Amino acid sequence: MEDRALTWLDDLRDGGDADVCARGLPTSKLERWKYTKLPAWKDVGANQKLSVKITSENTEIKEINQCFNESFVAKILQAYIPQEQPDMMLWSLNNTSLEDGLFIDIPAGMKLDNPIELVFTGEEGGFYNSRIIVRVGKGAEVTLIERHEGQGTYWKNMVTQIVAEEGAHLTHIRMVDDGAEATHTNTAQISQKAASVYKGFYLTQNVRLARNEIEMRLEGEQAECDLSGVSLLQAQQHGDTTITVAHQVPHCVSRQFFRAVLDDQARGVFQGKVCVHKDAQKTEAYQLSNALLLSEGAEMDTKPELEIYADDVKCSHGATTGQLDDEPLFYLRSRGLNEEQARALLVEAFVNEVVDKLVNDSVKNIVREVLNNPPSHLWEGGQRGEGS
Amino acid sequence: MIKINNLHTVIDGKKILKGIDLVIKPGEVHAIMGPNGAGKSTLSNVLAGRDGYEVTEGSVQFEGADLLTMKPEERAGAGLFLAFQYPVEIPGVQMTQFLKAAVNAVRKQRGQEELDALAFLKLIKSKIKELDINDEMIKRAVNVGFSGGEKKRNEVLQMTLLEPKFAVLDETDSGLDIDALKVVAEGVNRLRSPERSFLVITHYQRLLDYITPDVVHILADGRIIKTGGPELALELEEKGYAEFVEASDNEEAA
Repeated sequence: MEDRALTWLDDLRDGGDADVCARGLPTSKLERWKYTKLPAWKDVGANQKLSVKITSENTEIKEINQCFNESFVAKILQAYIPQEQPDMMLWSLNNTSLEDGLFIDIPAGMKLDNPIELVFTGEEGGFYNSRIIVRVGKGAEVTLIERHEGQGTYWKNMVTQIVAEEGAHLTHIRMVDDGAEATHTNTAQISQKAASVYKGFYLTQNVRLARNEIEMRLEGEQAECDLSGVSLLQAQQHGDTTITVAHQVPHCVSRQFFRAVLDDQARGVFQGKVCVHKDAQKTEAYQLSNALLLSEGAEMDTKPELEIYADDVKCSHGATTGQLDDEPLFYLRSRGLNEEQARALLVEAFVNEVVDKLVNDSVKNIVREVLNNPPSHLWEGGQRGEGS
Repeated sequence: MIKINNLHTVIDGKKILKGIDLVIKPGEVHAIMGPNGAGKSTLSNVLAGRDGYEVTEGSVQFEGADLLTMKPEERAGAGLFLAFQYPVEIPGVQMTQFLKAAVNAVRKQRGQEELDALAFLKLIKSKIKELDINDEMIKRAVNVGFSGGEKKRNEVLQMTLLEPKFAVLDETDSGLDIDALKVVAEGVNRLRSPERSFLVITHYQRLLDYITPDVVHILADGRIIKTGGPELALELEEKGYAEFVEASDNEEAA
């Protein structure tokens, strides 16, 4: 049971409270929040427990409030002081009522054949501040599949802290599919020790507003991280992916590959920053963001940033925003596909190029099941044609 | 089969086709030869329904229907096929997925039952064997990383699967070595039948060594300036385009 006598925990919560009172929520005046405006939330503070369904074999997953006495958990919770950062109010907000969440601890050397699956379900009127802490022990291998769903208007404000110890392999599939009225914010901090591998895939669809903020810390040599993701947005939906990859040591590799399909008045944001520290020689860092706009009203804001202080590195970044090409459309139509089918196939292909890079077939299939691809409304009539 | 009557087209305000008349009967193979810029590719694109080509005069009847009012996919369903000069690469779309979608799209339009995965697989296995295409090629994305020869073979594969009534081959010989050319020509010859017509558009006579046409037309500056039998292609190869174009200009002047 929770030990009420933990003063550090009280301090953490009080610090969060004080910060939220003093600074409020992030606004577009902050550099990293220029393109994303959080919806007004009248009930900040009335916190509920987020319902979660867990499927796992050979691993005990604990409620976080049962783990405050564990030194790893206590340490990681105190390690980050959001009030000292210019724009980490959502983390402070998550600290205010730190109580809800999970601790997933994979012991050294454990290799799990089947993925751990977490399904988080939000409910009408809900306000959730949940914390997920994951430690993948030395040489352990695990796939974590996080799925977010729910009904109605609610806000999930998650903080995720992950540590991949030496030689650990973590495949992390995070799918935000909360519902057209839901707001989903996730602030993640992922630390990688030497020779660890993190492969993260982030899906954003069917949500009013989502912001995925990920900070990768490559702390041990030969660490490798692959971040990829797909956003499929329509109506007035808004999806923001904001990433910082910090190459702190030599010989690490990072790759970012994100694609967005935006229809109607949907808006996508991709801010990707790669920071190569002075000593991080032989760094390889790649970043690619492609957006496909399906309507005149859709908008993509892309901001790639490279900060390189080492001189022997390979870094690249690229960003494109465009519409479907006429050439492949005509090619497909000349083979008998009608315009909607041709468009749908090309959108599906655009997204598949990201999904296909996932190594494991069973993981691919799980993603494909959730993925709303091609977006179903592409097949409907309207100005795109008479349908068939 | 197809009747082109006084066809005029304009692209970006520039006149390209200036009155094409052409009738192709069922079972016939016609070749159109011509120098660069004569309007060869424009003709094939207008027939297939590509955007951006404005028909200012004339008509095209395809089996009695007005071809020019049909959408590209309707033309495919009605039995028209264009083998592209530059087949388009489509990353992320697997060949089998694409071919199955195409086959079923035209089957549906023709009132035929759509093929299930198994029936389609059987069909494609037999066709790729005929065209000397290996299994690996149909597992890749459409035309992505294909050699020039593979792309053209892929066009012939699609033509074979879609069973058109009338096929237009737009410079299918360009970029092919002699072995690939033979495979492609054999693929076309295998499809020749009394019910099916072809329009072979080419710059060189070479392809016509393997696909023997019934009629050869010479296209220059948007008009057909001479029509003859297969021997015309040989004559053209020997004398070059210039002589024919000049002769035609003189006739006009006279």
